[in-house]
Amino acid sequence: MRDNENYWQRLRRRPVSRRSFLVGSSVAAAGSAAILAGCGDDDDDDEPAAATQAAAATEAAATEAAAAATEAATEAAAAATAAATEAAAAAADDSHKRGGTLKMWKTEEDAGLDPGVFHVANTEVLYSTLTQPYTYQPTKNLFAMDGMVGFEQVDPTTFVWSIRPGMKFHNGDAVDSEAVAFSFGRLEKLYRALDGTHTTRTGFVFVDSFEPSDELTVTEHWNRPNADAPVYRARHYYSFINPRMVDEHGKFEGSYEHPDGTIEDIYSIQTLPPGSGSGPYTLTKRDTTGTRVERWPDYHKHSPADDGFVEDGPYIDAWETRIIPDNVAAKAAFLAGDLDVYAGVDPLELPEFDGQDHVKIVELPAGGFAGQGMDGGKFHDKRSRQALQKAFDYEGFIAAIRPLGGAYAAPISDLLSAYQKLGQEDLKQWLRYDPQEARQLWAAADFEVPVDKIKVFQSTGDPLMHEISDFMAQTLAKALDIETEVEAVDVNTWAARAVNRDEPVKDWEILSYGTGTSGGTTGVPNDTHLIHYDPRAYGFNAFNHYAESSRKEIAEGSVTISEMLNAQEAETDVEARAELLTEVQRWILDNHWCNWKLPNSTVSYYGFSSRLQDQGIADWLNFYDRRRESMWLQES
Amino acid sequence: MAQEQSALELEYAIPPRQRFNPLKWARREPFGAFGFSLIVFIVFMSAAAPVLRTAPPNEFAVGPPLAGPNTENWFGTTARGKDVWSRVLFAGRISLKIGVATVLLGTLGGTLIALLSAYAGGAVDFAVGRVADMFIAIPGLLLALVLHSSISADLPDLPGLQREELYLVVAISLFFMPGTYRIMRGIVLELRESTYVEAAQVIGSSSFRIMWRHIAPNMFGLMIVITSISLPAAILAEASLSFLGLGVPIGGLDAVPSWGADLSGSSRRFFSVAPWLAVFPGLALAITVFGFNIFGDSLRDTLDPRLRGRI
Repeated sequence: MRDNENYWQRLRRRPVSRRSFLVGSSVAAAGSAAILAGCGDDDDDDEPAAATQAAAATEAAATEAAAAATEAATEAAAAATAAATEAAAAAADDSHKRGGTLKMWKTEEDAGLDPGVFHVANTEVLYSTLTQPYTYQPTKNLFAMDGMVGFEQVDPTTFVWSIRPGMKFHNGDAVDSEAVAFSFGRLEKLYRALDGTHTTRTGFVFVDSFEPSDELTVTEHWNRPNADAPVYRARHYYSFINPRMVDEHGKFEGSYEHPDGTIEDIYSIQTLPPGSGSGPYTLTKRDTTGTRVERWPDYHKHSPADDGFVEDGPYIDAWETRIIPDNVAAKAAFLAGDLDVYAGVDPLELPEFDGQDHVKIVELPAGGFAGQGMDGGKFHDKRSRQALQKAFDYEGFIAAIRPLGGAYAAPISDLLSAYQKLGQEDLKQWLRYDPQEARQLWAAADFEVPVDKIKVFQSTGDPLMHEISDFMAQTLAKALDIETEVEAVDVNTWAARAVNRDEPVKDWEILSYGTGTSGGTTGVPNDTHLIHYDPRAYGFNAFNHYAESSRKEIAEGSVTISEMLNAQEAETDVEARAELLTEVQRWILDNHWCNWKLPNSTVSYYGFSSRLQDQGIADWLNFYDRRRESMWLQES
Repeated sequence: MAQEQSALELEYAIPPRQRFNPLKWARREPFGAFGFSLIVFIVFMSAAAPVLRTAPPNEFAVGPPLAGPNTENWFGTTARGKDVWSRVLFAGRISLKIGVATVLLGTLGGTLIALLSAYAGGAVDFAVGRVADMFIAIPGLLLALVLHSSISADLPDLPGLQREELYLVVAISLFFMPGTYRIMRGIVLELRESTYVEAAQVIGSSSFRIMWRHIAPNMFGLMIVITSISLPAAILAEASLSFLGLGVPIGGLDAVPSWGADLSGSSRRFFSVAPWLAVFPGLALAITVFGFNIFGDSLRDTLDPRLRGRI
């Protein structure tokens, strides 16, 4: 018995024996028969009182009536028994889905848990302990309501949200519009206070204010239309945070100046103390070995439960996420049955999973990216960026790194099929290996900071990442006749150095990120992957491509692309937006802007334990998996 | 009387210096000779790697991915089509280079410190001894990690020794130096009290001359023994650090293959479907370490007969 269960929970969990079920069914059947016998047959009864008719009946009639009643009672009993059996079976189905611990892994410890600041190695905690407005499944184009129960676009720049009534944070504080408006509004302030070291801005840059209209309504006022706003709000950035916990436990991050000139101190909530969130789980462990979240017994009901939700909360009791830095060790744990998920199965290692009945390997769309970011502080001249891209041997890369199939990658993901109009042949016009031209461009390029060595900077964790960086270093060295090196550090150090803006140039030349294998889409072009080129997002904090740059060409380009990005975001017509997105992509490729994508794998595989059921595989790779409450564990 | 004198002369006579006969030594120390031949073999293969290779060691896609040993790729290929045979050959270079450099620095450094501190004695000897104790108390791997994060980036590129290689040499040497110091200090303390050192002091020889001419030559034999025994440990340490990603440059045209690095990284995830990825670098490492071990053991027996068969 669990200590934190109340009487009703224990009663609900009490098993129903076969005997008690039969007794219950018999009582129900007898009761039904008596009622039916007492009421008679409605079809042939036009008299107002069945009792009067029964009293006036002859003996034969009484006998006939009795016989009919018996028959009706028998039928009713049978029907009741069948119904009860069905109901009990349904209940039994539901109960056998409940319980268990989902065993996950990640390669690194998180650097912090504030959903507005850190997004690396912490989503298993953020999505489970905090509430988001809803989930979005791009493959079904389906919003499933969670913390919100509805939204309405009142006019092109006004959005109104309705909060689910009766929700509470884990410390009992009410989740109301003040808390939600605070949670959304703090993102811009955190972004400013931290000098843009994180990338949530694209989701709120078009918002003027988040206002609590009444206790359960939040109104967003925008400065321009945005087609993706609803989908953005399904991300963990828009989790509901308890303002009181930020006040009491927040960490000072800097100051924010309001338009009227007043200064506000801004606090983050990096440790998420109990009471910060209102999600289905609470954080019970967070240390160097991993995290654990456990069911919160007072979690609010979802009535009715939308797709992926369960009225009484998630089926799985707890999530245990171990830190396993080594991919091979994680695979060993997965094959031993100690993990339920193994990400990024290399096609070449598929034979290893043959005959393993306790695991299943699933083929998913290969929507990942292998990005190579260029430091705009050094590569401010378009010719230098073009030289780098022409120095890369794309076909050689496919032969070496994607031996089972590779495809050229565009600035936005091919998973956005409604928007992606650039085909493979189109992309080959820009992504073409030409070492001779590369050398000429390199020699002609203007460098304010001399580049006599190219450092490819990557994070450790996935060995494939190293192979990609190694290939990059080799192909650039050969084509440009320049010294190259690869530096690999842990992902938190890598992320910190990637966004470090203390100096006008980075301490690397090329930032390597992503392996181009598995990956999903949230459905937003910015997420997949325009954000990498956006002067207000990664372009700004990671790649020194931003409007305020001291490099004239970079500053001018930033203004141009920002306008194009704004235009496509504001367009709600799919066809018209696809045209605008094609225009943006062409501009990026023409200008070799910011970074470029190496060819992706055409196949992608994911490993799941056989016991994990209903995990929503089609949308597993876009963070939706973290909120699918209907996932359950089939215990053998 | 004459008989007694001749008996005494015979007893204290200095035996004539015998010329070293390798064949005779090989017959007396067959395992040592075998170890030596393994070392010669490995050195030869590594030195001749540019000639013996079948493909550039870092070249991608020289064969199909994960091809087993075949006539084109004798030791098979990696998941990215790199030639394992060529990588194994070239990896021997870094192992031997780091191993020899490390042991020379560690042994020479430890010996020199032992000579100076033990001869000086007193507070100097005490202080140096405690510093050595401190280093011995720190686990070698931890020391290497600390050094990697603290000094690795600041080290210079030396002729024939890149920054990352220099880091390996320094990190592994610091691990060996205190042990060498401990052993050598005992020898110096013993030699310092010997009659010929006392005699040299009496006739007014300088401390430097006594250390250089009378003590150091008597440490030479033991130094060789320590070197030969430490070398395989140094090679293994290099492999271990490379396995952990703290070794030589990991990417680019100039990246140096290392047996330790090839046993880690992306290769490991394919060991069960492509065992040649583990077998050949592992075998090369094992042969090298085995060769140095049995050669060092025999060398110790040869140079110090008192220890023969004791360990």
